[in-house]
Amino acid sequence: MTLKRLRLRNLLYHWRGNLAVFLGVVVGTTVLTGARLVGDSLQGSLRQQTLQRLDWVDEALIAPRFFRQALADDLIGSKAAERVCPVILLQATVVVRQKGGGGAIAHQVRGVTVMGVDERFWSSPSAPWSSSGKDNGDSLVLNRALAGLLEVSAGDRVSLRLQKPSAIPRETMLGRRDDSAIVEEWTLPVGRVLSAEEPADHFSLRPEMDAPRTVFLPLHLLQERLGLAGRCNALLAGEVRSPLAEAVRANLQLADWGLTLQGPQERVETLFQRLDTNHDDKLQPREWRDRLAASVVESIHSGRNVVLNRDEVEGFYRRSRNYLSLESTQLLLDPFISAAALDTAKDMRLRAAPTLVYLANTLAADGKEIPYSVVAALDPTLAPPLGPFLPALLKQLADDEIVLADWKESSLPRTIGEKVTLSYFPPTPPSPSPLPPLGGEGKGEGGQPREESATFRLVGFVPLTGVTGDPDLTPEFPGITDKLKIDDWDPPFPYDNTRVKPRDEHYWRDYRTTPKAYVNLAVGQRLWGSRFGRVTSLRMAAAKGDDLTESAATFRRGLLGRLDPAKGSLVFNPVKQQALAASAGGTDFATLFLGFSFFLIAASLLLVGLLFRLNIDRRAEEIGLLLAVGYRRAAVRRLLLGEGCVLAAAGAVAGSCLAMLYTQLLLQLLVSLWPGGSLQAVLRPHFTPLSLIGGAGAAFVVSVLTVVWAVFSLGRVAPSALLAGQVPGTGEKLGRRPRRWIGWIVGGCVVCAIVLLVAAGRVQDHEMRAMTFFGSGSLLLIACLSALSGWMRSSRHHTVEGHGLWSVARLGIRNAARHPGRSLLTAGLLASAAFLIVAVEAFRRHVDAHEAVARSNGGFDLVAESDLPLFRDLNTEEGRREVADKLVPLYRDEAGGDNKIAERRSKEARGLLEQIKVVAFRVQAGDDASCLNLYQPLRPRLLGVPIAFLEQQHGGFQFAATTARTDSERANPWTLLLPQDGEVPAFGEKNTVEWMLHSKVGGRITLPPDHSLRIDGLLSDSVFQSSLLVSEANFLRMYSGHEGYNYFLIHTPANKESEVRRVLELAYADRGFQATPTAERLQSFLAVENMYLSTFQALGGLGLILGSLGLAVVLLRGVWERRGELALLRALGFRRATLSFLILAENAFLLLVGLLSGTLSALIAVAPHLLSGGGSIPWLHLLALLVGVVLVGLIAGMLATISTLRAPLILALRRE
Amino acid sequence: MSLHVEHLAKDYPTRSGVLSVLRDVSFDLERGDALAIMGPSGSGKSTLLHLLGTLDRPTGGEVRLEGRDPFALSERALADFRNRHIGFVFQDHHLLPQCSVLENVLIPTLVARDNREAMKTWARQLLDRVGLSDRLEHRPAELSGGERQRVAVARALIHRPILLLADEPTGNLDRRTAESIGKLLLDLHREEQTILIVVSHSQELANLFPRMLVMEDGNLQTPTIRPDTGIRLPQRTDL
Repeated sequence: MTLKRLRLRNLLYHWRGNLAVFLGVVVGTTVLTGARLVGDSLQGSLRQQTLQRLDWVDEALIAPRFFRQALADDLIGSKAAERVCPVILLQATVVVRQKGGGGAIAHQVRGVTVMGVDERFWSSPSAPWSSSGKDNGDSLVLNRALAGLLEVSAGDRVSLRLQKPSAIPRETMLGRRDDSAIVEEWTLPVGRVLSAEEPADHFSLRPEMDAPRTVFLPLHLLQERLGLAGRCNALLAGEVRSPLAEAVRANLQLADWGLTLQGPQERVETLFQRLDTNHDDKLQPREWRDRLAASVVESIHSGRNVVLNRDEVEGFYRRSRNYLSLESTQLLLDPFISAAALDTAKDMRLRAAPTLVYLANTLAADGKEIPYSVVAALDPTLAPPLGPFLPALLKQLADDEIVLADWKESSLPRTIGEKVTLSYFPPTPPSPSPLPPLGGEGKGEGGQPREESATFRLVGFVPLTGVTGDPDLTPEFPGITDKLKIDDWDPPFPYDNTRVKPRDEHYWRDYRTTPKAYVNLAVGQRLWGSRFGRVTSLRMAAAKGDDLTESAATFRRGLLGRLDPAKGSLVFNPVKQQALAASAGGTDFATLFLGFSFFLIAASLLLVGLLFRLNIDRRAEEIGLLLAVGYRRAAVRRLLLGEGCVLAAAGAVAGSCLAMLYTQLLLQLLVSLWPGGSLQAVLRPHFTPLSLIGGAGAAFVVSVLTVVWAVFSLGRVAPSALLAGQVPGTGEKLGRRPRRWIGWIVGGCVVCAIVLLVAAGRVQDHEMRAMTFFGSGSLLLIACLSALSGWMRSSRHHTVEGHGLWSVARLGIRNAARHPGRSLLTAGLLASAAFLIVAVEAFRRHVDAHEAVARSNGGFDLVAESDLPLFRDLNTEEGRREVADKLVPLYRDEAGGDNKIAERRSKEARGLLEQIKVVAFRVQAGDDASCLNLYQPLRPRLLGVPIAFLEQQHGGFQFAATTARTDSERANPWTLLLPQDGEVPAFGEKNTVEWMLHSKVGGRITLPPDHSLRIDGLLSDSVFQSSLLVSEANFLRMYSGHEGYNYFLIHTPANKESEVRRVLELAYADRGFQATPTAERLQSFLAVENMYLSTFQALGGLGLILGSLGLAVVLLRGVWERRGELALLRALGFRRATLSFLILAENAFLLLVGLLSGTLSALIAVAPHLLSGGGSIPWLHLLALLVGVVLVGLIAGMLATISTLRAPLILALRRE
Repeated sequence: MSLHVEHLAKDYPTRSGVLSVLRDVSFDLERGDALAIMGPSGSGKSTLLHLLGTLDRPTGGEVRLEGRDPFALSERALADFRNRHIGFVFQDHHLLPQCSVLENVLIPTLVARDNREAMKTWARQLLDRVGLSDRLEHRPAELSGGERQRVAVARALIHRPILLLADEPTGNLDRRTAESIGKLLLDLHREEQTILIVVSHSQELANLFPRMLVMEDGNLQTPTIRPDTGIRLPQRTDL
């Protein structure tokens, strides 16, 4: 016989009690480990999805411009990565038309990613086309998700609606914004639908919950269609060997930046490539006529029908145009590029002349005018070959002065000093118009350029020969510079060819794009500069004696070395690393569920303590004997602790196994409660040994600590008392007066709770406020339980007398004080669970989404998004006209070709649109920052709010907090977003900022590459959960190349919501326009929030059940201990029913005291929150819940009582 | 002098004031002495036994066993002292139901640094002596009341204590069994030369003892009338 053996014997002999303890530990471990495993599963699922989606791709370069596809080969050549794949990535809407349905759309899916890839993308077994791709025909490959949505399979035809790439920014005067220039519709057969086993089926670069919708096309096919041969806008890299940034920088060419550097030689080369159609190195008259300025031809070789050979042409350029010109395919040099080029030129000792060429609609003086003239803004004082552009004797040009070309046919007066007025369209279209009042006529000019003008004083003329007769000052612009006549021009701006006179055509023939007027560079940049650039070319001349060709090479190298690839977004992002970081989740689910399960864990641990303590109580005599035969108390404790440890260890092991099942159930719960069902495809159980061991270990430690508490609570009861069966906490203490400190505790807790409640109203920080709330609630709870403890320990109870049920009930209540510790634990358990449930119920959002539209979303009842940007302002005539024009053919199709019906319906739609109010936002794509996305949003989506909206908006949106200081800011917090110097102010939805981005008002959020946003306001219940908001001006400062509007808030007239939605979705179907009722969107956000609270409450409810179980156990034990007493009462004539009532009274008393303490503490603590309108309590629901708990507790107690009272009591009586 | 008890007192606080259970009890006993203490319920008999057995602490007076004051010892030393020098037999035998007869006897040895085999042999001998050599592996539930008490006696003697205390050892037994237990106690006491103090209501048991005292209202007195015969005895307080 050893102590170890004795311990084992004890464990086996007292198996019933030990089993209960074991089960308690199992529950605790299951819940604790389960919480960790839920976190693991979520992170593991997201991680698995990330790895699956990115497949072999580690890093990705996604540029806003098209660059050489050959860069991929360069990078492999430099051994920076084993695998680099050039890709064209585009956003598209895909439609399937009904078969034989006259072109009617059967299915439309927006948010589709189109990927033009070559064989390098595919993991070899799944490559759907060969390296050339040419033997595969013109077909596309769909992933399963998209094919499923479109309900298509191989052989069906689908139409892609893509955004046509445009080198020239669409939001410049020369940018094309009409439908035909924006949308490319392309119908192709489906060659194949990928299978689930193929990695490409899941491929996506963005960490998002929804299954990617992807179309794959052979790269060459897409290039061909888009006219971008040899170019791509993305590179995917895998097996990276060395930092790709260095390799990219080393291999970038000017072409990758969209730049050309032209010297005389390059110009001739370009000219011959364009004009020498028979490749004989000569330009025949039919080749050069009307394509090359006659004045230039005359300068090369006089005569009408001369043949120009290459040497002659080159000789001319070397002689008369001996400068380098840096130009951009997007017409304007990016500001950072022109700055770098100027610095490089300075370093190379090149003389540089920034030049801005613009098109004036009219040059007018003294009532005479010339239409459509090129004007150049430059430094006119420079020496040849860059200038001068001044009349003889004039040394410089003032800002209000203009020099005209000496054009003999000009209709303008030739009087020096004459006022010359330039009329022109502004360089960028105006911002959206201020919002019209609802139902009012939106007559803003938004979208439609309005002519502006500037007046100069004529100071002289320069000849149309030599330096000042240079058509190459004007960069190439398709639609204008490639036209043989002005009359043929096809410009993107309003153009009236009736204004063109024969003399204008003569000028075009003789001088082509040679400017007709010159002004100072600064003036031109002020008038025609924009965020897209302030220079159309940078002309440079070599220092005297330097060779221009050599200078060009040196400049090229120098400029490439100076250009920061990051500024052009020509950098690889470690997408896999970032996505894996994002897969850690926006919220730490392990901690969240641990928090959710806190009361359940606490309840199970209290139950463990209670049960173990009951075991000890039951074994009091045994313990007394051991002490009597000479066991030290420490030895007895060790013996009991050892038993406890064995139970805790066994329970922890079993619990961690059960936790896997419990986790599955929790995941099922999450999946079923998650709005939209997107979680189902993602969430899979993931169990890491660390979490299993960690959870079991933590549960073991906490359980052992609970056991230690139970063992030490034995105190120093005399062995003789223990031998007599007396258990700690009874008998010997009953005679004592209640401890005075209990009164102090009650008073202190109540005072502190009141102080915290008062302070809570002034706390801004949400975490502090939550802590204040829980702090005051907990203090009130402690006060209630302390008061109960004081009552139970008091000797001054009223004498139980009289007769009838009330007297029996009072005796039962008095019995609750028999074991103050046990009773307090039980009541505490119930009180805590009730506290939790009531508090959570108070914080549950019962928001009426429709009411929230008016209260927190400015009354905008539709929220819309489009795949391709919209450029027209829908509040204006022009915008409405665009919609109406787009609708006519669609309605005609619907009406079976009846144009009258189509026109009428289109007119009605236009009338409807006059009654709506639209706010258009710019969108910088990014991660969905709403709670619907489980990934950590590393770069949240950004919305640019129009300035007009900020200035006009007064109310209609609810702010949880702002940094407003002045009355006007408080009256309209939106003004906080207005551009200021320094940091960019931003707004975000409260939940997004606090829970997803882990920031607060005044906090900073950094967006790549280095934009810092300061949170100046938190919106409440708005539809902006997915994004952060900044002013449009700041938005464009951050993303100067951004174009168009993709996000819209729409205010519709009453009951016209669906109609407006239908009209806009139909008109802009080609742009992937989709409108959703704001209330519906809000509901989905609220659903997530309430899902969390439901989970919290469900787990709290389990805690309550455990509490009720604990109560039943305590009751059972109490009844068992008192069976002699009960037997005596039976002997004295008490009926069994009366005894049951006696016991039930004790049970009900503890139940009610526990529940009422918890409920009242919670209600008082949440009162400020409720009074401030932050929440409301569904009283009926709450009452039903609490009554349910009381009933469950009473029934459990009754069953326990009945089972005990059925046992023969004679033995117990004998014992008494 | 092996057991010296002087002015021993024990009070309990109650709601209505202090309750004196034991008042000024004094006596001395030597090794080989056996004493029966009788008295009505609530007279303080068991309290005295618990104080002598160091299961409870007195509120006044002194107890010395072999010249040592056990209450001056630390908690740990007191437990060891009790383990080594005091043996208990209770009315409720307090056998551990989960252990066999032999194991129950060996329970006190589990916390002592004795030779395990030697103790086992001694336990077997004791059980043989109490007539249970054939029931070593039986559980308490498989024994009769008398047999259980025999096991309790053997357990009390496992460490060859100086002081053997028995609190109503025959209280739950029939007359014949009670007599055999009483005799067994006395026999073993004689063999082991312990100081045996038995508290009992049983006159038959008390009659087996050479000496007897009566406890009344917390005072230990020499009986004035021999209860079994009704013969008046001389007053004696100096045992």
